[in-house]
Amino acid sequence: MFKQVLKAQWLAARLPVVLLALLGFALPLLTVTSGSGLANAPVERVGQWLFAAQQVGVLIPGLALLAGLLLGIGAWAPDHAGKHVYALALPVPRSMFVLLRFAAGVTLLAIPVAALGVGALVATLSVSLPDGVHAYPLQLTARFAMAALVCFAIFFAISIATKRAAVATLGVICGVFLADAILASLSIKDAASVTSTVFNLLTNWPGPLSILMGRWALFDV
Amino acid sequence: MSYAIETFDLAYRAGKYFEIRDLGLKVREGSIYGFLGPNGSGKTTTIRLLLGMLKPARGTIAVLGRKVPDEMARILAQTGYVPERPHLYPYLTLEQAVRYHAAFYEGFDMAYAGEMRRSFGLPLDQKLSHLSKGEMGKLHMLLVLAQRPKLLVLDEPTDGLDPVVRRDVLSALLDFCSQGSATVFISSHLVHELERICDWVGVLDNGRLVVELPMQSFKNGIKRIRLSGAPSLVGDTPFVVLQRETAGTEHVWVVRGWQPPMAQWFEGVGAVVKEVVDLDLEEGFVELLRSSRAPVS
Amino acid sequence: MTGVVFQQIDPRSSIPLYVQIADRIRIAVATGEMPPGGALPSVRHLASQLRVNPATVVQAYRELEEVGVVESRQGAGTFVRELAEPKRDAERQRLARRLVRQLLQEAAALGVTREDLEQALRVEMKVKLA
Repeated sequence: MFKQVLKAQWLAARLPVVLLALLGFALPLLTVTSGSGLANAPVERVGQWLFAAQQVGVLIPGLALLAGLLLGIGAWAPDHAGKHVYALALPVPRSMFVLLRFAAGVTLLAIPVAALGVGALVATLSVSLPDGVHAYPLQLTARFAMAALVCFAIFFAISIATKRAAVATLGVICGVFLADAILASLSIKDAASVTSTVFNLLTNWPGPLSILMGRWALFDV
Repeated sequence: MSYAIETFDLAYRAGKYFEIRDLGLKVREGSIYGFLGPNGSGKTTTIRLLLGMLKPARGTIAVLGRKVPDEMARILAQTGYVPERPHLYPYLTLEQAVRYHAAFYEGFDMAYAGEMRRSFGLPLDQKLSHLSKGEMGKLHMLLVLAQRPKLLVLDEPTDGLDPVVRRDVLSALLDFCSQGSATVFISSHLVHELERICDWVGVLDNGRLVVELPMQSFKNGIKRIRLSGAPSLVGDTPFVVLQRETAGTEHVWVVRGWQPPMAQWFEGVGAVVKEVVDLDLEEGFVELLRSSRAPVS
Repeated sequence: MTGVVFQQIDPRSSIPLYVQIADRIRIAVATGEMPPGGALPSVRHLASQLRVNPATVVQAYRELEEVGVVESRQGAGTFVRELAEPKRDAERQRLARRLVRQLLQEAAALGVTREDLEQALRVEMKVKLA
């Protein structure tokens, strides 16, 4: 049963999955483009190089967000198109079907994660690092995997609901942003910004999005 | 007598103007039950209630002897359902769609599916998004029949299909029915289609069950009677008067529950029966709906 | 297999479907289209071809068995009984009489006279023979 669900989900989402895998493979390699002859370079140059590499690293949590978004929404899109009538008539409890869809999505997510891992390894092997600088390909991959999983789970949960509920959820979020922007433009200084409060709650431990924050560096001291 | 579907005092409300009430269906095991009703009478809603997709406001439902919705998964394992608007995953090929479906049903008969696919002339490697409406109709029938279900619930399975496809689909259905003792619950507003295949009929109008009868008594029981000298006031009649019309000295009555000896009743009230005309299912159906909406006084 | 047995039935007729099916088979037997000892189509096949409820076909076969036109053999199916030649002739004549009765009834309803009918019969038979 899982095999067939996975196959169907793969056929529905193979384009985004391949695209994500390509990006996952390419991003770590981008961080090392100007990394030749580093081993004996002066400290300033190493510092500049590390800074440049870490700028590219910012894109990695972005990729995790994108992967979660595409696969999370993609997991339910075919069922939404048929108002879930086909899925609801299948002889499995709803919770079981949700689990099947989730597991298949996670399995597909493993493809870009693996691609990023391979990319990070290749990038690491292609440079000779000066003393004091280390590569963290496994740690980066593991963090990417966790971040992608969290994003996937969030978008999966949002899009499991009816289209209307999903749109309403997104609408509420946009509404909060808008209200905040209006409040800010009125420059009521003492009013605590709802957006920044929520953002802080989400992105600081134990907020679920904290995994996306911080430094995403393949190379670091 | 055991029932494949049995509802009691079922009620459901959708919006301001539509409700199903006091619905008591009794579908005998092994019967082919025609669920008739005009568009918008609540057939699809009833089917969704039966399959646990909607929650009734009141009442109980038992399907295949199990309670809805408590034992839904076990009911659905033995139920083949063709929805009003079939929606399979359009990016799958026909073969992939069959394999996907088969994975969910223990007794799925792959050989039978292959046999039907060949007789329907369906291409294996075609994407579902490229299939015609008729081919989709055939595919859906193939999928549910190959489940070898105990109960088939078909919601307008031939609606919008051309006559050739409709014939193929119904032939396949009847071929399946003659292999075993499955119960078929088939909803349609195409009365003629059901006339030849069903042995029971339930008529739904405006969310209410108007009648539920064996097909034979439905067909034979509704007559149009030409009379002269009919009484203008109707007291107790041994039959149900659905409709009365008068043109000059001639009266035309449409009655339900007619049996030949009842002609004596007319003699008793001084009327002469000139002719008794059989109504086919469609005419009977129309008369029945007309009288259920505006009862004859 | 084609022929009279598989001709479409008329669901709108007031004659019950099983009677219509049984009649078809009696005609096929009487005319020799279905030879003695020959097998009737299976219930499954006939029901699916005529698109009728299988129970209706079963009922038709049971009816035929009761009047001795067919016999069912356990597990093998239903077969046309060996009818003596005179009995088959009698059956055919019975059918012919029924056709004529129908014809006369309709003719009377339409106001067609006996002379008209005889004339038409001669013309039609000549056309058929030629």
